[in-house]
Amino acid sequence: MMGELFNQTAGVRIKHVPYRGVAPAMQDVISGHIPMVFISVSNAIPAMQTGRVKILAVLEPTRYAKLPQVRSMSEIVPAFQKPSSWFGFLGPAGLPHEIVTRLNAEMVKALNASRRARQARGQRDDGDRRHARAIRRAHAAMASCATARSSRRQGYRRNDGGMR
Amino acid sequence: MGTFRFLTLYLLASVCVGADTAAAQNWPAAKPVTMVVPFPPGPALDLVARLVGGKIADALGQTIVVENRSGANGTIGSNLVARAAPDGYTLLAATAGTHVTAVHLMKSLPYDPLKDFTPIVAAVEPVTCLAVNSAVPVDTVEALIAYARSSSR
Repeated sequence: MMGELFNQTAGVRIKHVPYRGVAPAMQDVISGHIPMVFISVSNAIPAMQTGRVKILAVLEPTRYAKLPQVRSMSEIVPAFQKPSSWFGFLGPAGLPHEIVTRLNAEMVKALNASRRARQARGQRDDGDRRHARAIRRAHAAMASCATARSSRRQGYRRNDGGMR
Repeated sequence: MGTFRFLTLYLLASVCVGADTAAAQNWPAAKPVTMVVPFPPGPALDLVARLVGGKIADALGQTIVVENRSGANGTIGSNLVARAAPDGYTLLAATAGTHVTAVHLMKSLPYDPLKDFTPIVAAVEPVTCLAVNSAVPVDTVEALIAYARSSSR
């Protein structure tokens, strides 16, 4: 998905290799089987520190505090706007608001109490409504990406037809 | 008779509403809370779920049972929670994969990622990057784009 977004916004055609997990993908970039990867910084930094990979850009709207020298992709390719990737907690539809509020408060407390979780967290607003908004926005971004892709495919087909 | 029936219905309705509110207020006194992780044990999401589950159990005074129900890119476990009663005793540890990407990658999704769930919190939003192998002869994204264009010709 990030690869497709990059292809569309940067005007390139880099081939995707879908992986089942981040570990094998990172391993293949380190060993040189594939040249590049879109991956979380926590997976890439150890390999960067030992000089096996170079981090060219951070894919969030702003730079990352721990890699201040690395530019954000939006500084380079302004059209590249990646929907946030997240781990989160949800309940079934219709979960009473009292329960949502209580869970939200306790979960945020639990996350902030863990040093590792605190380091991994990038967001500033923990509200359940914000989470809902982020999911909706991500869907909209994905939908436009998929539409552009399918229309491009149709374009290819038309071209093929013309060749014959 | 009409009035009596209306009154009975009214009383019944208020008892039901009252029971619901009371259930939400007493939550989670009734039984352990199940937190479904729709992937096998081990990856980051599982760790986050176990960390949070362990910590909120004390605060809520109730056991949190983390259940790994993996399969079909996380959609099997997610569907279980979509179909569960919204009583706070079944929760889901989800990802953008199960709730955003799956819609576009899978032929049919057994749930609606927006309508069938109540978001509680985005626990971790990882920072992502573009990394290249050190031997790739580029040091900037601009150079990478030029490199990609020249090598695809």
